[in-house]
Amino acid sequence: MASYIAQRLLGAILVLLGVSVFVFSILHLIPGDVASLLAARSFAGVSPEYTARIRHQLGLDNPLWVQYWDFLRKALLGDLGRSFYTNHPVAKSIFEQFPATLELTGAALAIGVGLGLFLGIFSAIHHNTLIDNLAMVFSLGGLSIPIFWSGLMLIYLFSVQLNWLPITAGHGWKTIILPATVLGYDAAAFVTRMVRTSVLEVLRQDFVRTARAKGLGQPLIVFRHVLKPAMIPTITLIGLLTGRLLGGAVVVETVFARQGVGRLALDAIQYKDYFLVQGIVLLAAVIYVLLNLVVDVSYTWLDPRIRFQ
Amino acid sequence: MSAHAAAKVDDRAPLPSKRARRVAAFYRLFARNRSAVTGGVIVALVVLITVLAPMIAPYSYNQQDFTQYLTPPSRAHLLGTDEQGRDILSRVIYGGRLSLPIGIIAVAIATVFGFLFGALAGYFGSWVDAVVMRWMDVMLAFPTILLALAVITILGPGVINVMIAVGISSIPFYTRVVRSSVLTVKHMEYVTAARAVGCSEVRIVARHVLPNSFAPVMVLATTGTAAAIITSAALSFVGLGAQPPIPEWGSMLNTGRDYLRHAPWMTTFPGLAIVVTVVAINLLGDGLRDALDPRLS
Amino acid sequence: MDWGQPEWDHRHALLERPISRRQMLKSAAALGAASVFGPVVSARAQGPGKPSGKVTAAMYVDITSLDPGATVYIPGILILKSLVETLVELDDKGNPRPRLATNWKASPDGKVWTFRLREGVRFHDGTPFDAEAVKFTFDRILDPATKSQTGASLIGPYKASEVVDPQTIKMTFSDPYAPIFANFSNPVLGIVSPSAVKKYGADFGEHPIGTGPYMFKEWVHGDHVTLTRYDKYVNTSTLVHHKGLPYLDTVVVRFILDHQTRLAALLAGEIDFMFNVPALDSVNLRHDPRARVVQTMFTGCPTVQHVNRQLPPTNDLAVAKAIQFAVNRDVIAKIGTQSVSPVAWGPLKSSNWGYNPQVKTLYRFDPEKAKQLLTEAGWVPGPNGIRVKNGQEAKLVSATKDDKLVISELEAMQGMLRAVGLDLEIKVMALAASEELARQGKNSLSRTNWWGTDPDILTTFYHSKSIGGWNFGYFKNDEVDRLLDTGRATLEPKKRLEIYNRVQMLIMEQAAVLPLYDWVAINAARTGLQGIRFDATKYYPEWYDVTWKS
Repeated sequence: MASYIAQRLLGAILVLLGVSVFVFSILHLIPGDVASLLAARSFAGVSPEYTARIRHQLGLDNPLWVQYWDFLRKALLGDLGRSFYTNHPVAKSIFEQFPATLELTGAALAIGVGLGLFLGIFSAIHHNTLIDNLAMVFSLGGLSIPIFWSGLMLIYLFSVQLNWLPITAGHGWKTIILPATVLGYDAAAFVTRMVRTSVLEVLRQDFVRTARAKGLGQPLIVFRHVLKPAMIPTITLIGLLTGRLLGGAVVVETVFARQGVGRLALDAIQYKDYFLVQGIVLLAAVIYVLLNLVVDVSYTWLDPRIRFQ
Repeated sequence: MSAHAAAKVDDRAPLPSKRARRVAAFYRLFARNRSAVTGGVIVALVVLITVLAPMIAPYSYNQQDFTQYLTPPSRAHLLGTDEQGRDILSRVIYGGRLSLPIGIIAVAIATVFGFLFGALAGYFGSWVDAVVMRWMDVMLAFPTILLALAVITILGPGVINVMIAVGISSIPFYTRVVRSSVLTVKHMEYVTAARAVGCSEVRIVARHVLPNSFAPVMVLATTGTAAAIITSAALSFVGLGAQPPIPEWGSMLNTGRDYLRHAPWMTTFPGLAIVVTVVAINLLGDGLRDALDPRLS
Repeated sequence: MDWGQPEWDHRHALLERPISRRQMLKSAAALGAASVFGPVVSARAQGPGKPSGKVTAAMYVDITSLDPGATVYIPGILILKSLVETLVELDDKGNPRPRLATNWKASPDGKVWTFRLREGVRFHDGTPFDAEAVKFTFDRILDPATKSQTGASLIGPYKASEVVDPQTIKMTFSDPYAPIFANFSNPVLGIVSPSAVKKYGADFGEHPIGTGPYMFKEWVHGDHVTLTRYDKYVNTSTLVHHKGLPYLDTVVVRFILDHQTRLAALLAGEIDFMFNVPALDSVNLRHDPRARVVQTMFTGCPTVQHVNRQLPPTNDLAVAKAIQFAVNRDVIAKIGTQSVSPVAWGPLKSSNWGYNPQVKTLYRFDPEKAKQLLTEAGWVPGPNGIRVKNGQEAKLVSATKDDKLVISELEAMQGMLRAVGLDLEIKVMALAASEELARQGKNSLSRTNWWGTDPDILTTFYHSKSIGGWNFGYFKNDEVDRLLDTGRATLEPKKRLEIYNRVQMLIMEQAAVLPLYDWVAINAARTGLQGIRFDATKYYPEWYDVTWKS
């Protein structure tokens, strides 16, 4: 088991290194001279001296590998540079906006996993009945309905027409319920399908038939024998889901006019605030990789087969 | 035996080939799946409508009529008008001409590179495999939309860049699928036989190995097109895709957002177009998957 | 000295009331609004509310610097209004009132002005306000290192100053300067602390120090600026409603660029005052108990599109004139402002005292006339409908900020121009990027609107020396230059009026600008916020008297 964890850790570190290379290269893949592009942003005007000054200030005149090493070193220390446009430290901007996104993503994850687990198990048990079909329709909807559209439609229904909920922004459960539901539905669709498939598989297996033959009632079968193995793919999914949710947050934050990292990213791209974009993309990837690492390690507890590999 | 009887049975007539049998089985399974067929029909309809747009659409997509500012659906304008007095129905129809190809081309990009990398990784194995798959892991470490955003940062906004961005961010999925089906046939006898006969590696890969992955890739491509349409609409929705006055479903939703209270039809119908198209494609994809290999479902 | 009487209505001198104009009442009636004004009547009638508290206002444009010498954007000026003070300020009649200067006199030739300065005033950093500081501030604007754009224009023919004694300063101008008071009352010419500038150097824009009732606390870039009450503030204004310290102890100005987001924040109570309510939403807002509409017709330049008269194809007068006939301004006003703002025909707003009504006679909406002009000039319709002359297609380009209403207006114009055979390409980008392109003369059409009480603001846009600055149209006309310079130096109001009338006609005859509408600023405040007083431009609110109804 220790070797399993070590293996996973090593893999994660390698991926993170690759991520850092990729993020670093964003700035350098941009067509044109970055220093001139950035110089044009300011009102000082584009003079060769100013452009050269910027180039030197940002270390863009160093060889690439030196720049990469600087970037990596600083990133590990938490220094993601400064936004060229506002001169605000990138790390600080991201962490200022992070709680809002975390709130939204967390709520959506809870809704998605909770709803998805329930529907997945339920529909698997009642395989090929009306409930099953409805659940499949539900999940198809989640995969097909774009969140920015469902968000707008729900805003129209609940805020404009019915006036039940405030339109946007602010704090408190009333303002988070719509965006979290929209985002959570997207996640639930995924989870439902996955859980249903794996529960169906488990239900077909021998030990379940044995349990039934022994005369155990359905709920007991479910809880004792099915839930835990069925959770494994769900846990796997959490990594993937979080990634999807983070991506969805970008759109949902725009639709519902919420603060958050998503909005920050979009503004950064609009204003060609390259360092800010770099920082956000890096953070998202790091979270994703670390989360997957945690998931992989938690397998050892969930699935005994791995423990003894 | 009489000569007459002998003439009837010809032992040398070939049996229906394995491929022909598989295709027949596929059609049977597919045709029985009602929702898949419905999906296929709807997709065909959507494609037809967008292709025939200039003939079907009642107005030009850019026809401004300021006397019809923000009018609700009526007989003259079945889906209402927008803030430039343009007919929403026409814009939705023409919008398909952008939104559909974007999805298809993005998937095409991903498929081509997926075949390339997947074949490389699966067939040659060892360090090639390690490098390619590690790189795919890195790409998969980013949420798809953020990866697309990163590409857009480099390339700048615009319809073509959205296609490229969505395409690039989908490559890892196709690579994995191709790689795993390459792995299943790599060691099969006919491959070894081909190599023994002296076929070049390229030929082996192209003619014997890759065709095995066509089926799963086709399934992935179908549902992938649906996802690509949604992702590219999302990018346009946040303003990074089609620029005005191009009608694209996502950017129409972006414009309509400011008028949600006063003209909800501006957002309802383009969104509905996305939903219908994507649902149909997904049903088609599900049906394909069920029909191609029932074990996969 | 008689500086001319502005022709707007001065009945409702001090508060959030617009100039009453027939069109505005007509639109207000059309909108079903019984009254354009909120329940706040006169702050004088009510006593102060809480002596503490906070007000949060949200702007629709971001800022790049808080250095008055360098500041260019509107919210920067809004913030500076409370941070720095000017030598004089204008009242509603356009008359100069003492602020940091207590009285003044001019030499007989009008080229030397002597100002007596107020005593006992200190900067936020504790250093004393004196003539040295005034000299420093003005000389600094002339210094190319400060990169002052607006300030350099407003300072006019200022040459140098002489410190006679700590309370007296003598300013020398190369010519008499007619709009001296209008321009000197602009916060861009607010007096800054020399020791602070010396201390912060190029970073002064991040730590502005003045003498105003509020001092700078923090600036979270891209998000907000916080000001706190200056507890040693000495009242210098004669226009305020109370003496002593401002009521509220904190003013926060947030930058929320998206219109819907800003509106949502107001309704949610996250902000207390918002600028630029989209006209369509303002209709509902009037019936909303949570907030009220605060509408002002500020004076200055209308919302216009500068036509680049040096960039092909708009360098061809026929094309420039065709644009004037091709665009239906009523429609643009409808799209951009729900027809709340009246249509404009000249480079000055009709509410400005220098406005020349004759500009209305030059053009009208007539696409056929536009086509005729183009054809006569040799612009023949090409195969795809775009006109061609000498092998060159009539392709225009306009880079614009990502503001949905602005984009909608441009799309409408695009259609109208296409109808007469002109192709307009719209490029959407961040504001700074689009302005950079405009400054470089790469835009065929560039949108601006501006505030100011004196017709001399035309210099900022139409004088050839502003090319590379705010003269986005790259307009160069020797007679206009000459007239503008003369108008600035002429002291007699009737003569000035003649001069500016001629300037406006010349500008419009050259079709250098496409005026769209006299923008009525629709802002909104939360119910309970009172004491908002607008300055003489009617655009900027002052926070000094603002308080909450208790």
